[in-house]
Amino acid sequence: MDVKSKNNDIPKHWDRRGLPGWCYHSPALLELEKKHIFTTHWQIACHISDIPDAGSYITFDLFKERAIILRNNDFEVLAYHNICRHRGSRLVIKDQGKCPNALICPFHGWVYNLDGTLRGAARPDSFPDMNKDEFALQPIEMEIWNGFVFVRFRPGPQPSVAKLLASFAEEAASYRMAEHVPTDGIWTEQSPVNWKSVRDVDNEGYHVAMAHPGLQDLYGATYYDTPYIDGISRSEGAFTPTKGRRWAVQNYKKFSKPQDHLPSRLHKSWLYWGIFPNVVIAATPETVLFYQEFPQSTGTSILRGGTYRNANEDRQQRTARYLTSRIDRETVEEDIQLTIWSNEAMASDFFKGFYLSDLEYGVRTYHDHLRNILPVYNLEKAPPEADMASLNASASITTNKTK
Amino acid sequence: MIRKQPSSNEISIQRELLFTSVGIKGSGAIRYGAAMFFYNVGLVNKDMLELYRICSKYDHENPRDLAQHEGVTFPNLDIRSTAEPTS
Repeated sequence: MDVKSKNNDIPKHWDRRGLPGWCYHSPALLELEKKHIFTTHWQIACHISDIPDAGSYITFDLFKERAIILRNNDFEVLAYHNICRHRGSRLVIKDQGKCPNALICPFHGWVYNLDGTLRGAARPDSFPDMNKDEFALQPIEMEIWNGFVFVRFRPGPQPSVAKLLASFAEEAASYRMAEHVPTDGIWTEQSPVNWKSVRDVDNEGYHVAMAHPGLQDLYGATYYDTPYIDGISRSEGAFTPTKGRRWAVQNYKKFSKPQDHLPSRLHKSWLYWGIFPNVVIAATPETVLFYQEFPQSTGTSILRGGTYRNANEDRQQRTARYLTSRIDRETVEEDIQLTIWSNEAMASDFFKGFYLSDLEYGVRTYHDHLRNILPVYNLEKAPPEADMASLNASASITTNKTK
Repeated sequence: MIRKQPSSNEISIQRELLFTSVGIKGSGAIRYGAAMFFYNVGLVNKDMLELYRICSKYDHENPRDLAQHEGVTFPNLDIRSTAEPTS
């Protein structure tokens, strides 16, 4: 289904409230979110170009779970729990690297083939005969979509990534993202807010004119969001015809040079594909990138992302990409400040809750996705922490969804 | 450990890895991984395998030197000169 054919209309009368403030600082709710929202939904671990060679690996930790994504000797991408079958130690301890021959546990020295099977236990004479398949590394559900490697630690409500993102397929394919290569590697940054405050800012463009002078100069009023429907959203900003007033934007508009294979309608646009619950893939004429956020505690989150470029980038495209990163870096810093302001409101006894604009309908539809998974979000007042899980499981909670 | 006979191509690859030059970054682990391979096909014994394990985190440590230091005899040490097992 094409995004445009979905019902993106904003209803005339909709509940303009956001989630209750207590949802942003409840440890018991956070535990439910970790279990039912993060580990059961697709997460981007990396791009295939982050692991270019046989034996290349990258790790991806999510709360108490940890994954290793690697290429075997046949250059296939595989995902395993980064857990030795012996005592559970991490098999690789670096974020990224290369194991040219085998994975070797740093604890006792068990050796695994790159296909995950056990090559052998250290001091093999101290064990009975062992079946190399029985003691193989445990695979993690994985799917590659346009070069991005998605993993899911537990089965969940989402369909396959290909099905989930089917409405983006044609558009995404035109960027040839799978052929892209890394720019600066995967970055992480801690942010002093609840993870939902990051989403609350990112899911609307109402703030762009006020808070992002660079983006306003770049695409201004052309920017629009589609609401979250069936777990995805889409936003687009087409370059305005002005020359640009700010140095980076002015020069970016001057130097931006699309990749040859891009259709003309994407030559002067930045696209953002939102993927519930916490991932965005963005595309510019020069780059593709992803970003996501994970809760560390009720009041801190980890922001994570990576940017990829056309492998055959020329000098002009490199210049434009540099300018893109400048605009983007400013935007991220501005957004972090907005998330802090939004998040601190949730701690105030006197904040009366969101009253959302039609231009923030995506925030509401995103919250509805959360409510569908955890009905306890519908409680206006904070329930006792000890009762959180049982209340969530009960069917007596009145729903508070947009009709 | 269940032992299966690998292909001659795999033996050739693992032989190169076993003789990865001492000092190369990551070479200790590469040599130990290859030693485990040759243990499985019966060309490295358990004592020799253990020395490769001890040296696996030390890229500058030559398992042969450690064997001499500890007085461990290395049967089939020079796999280059031994007959390949039939696959």
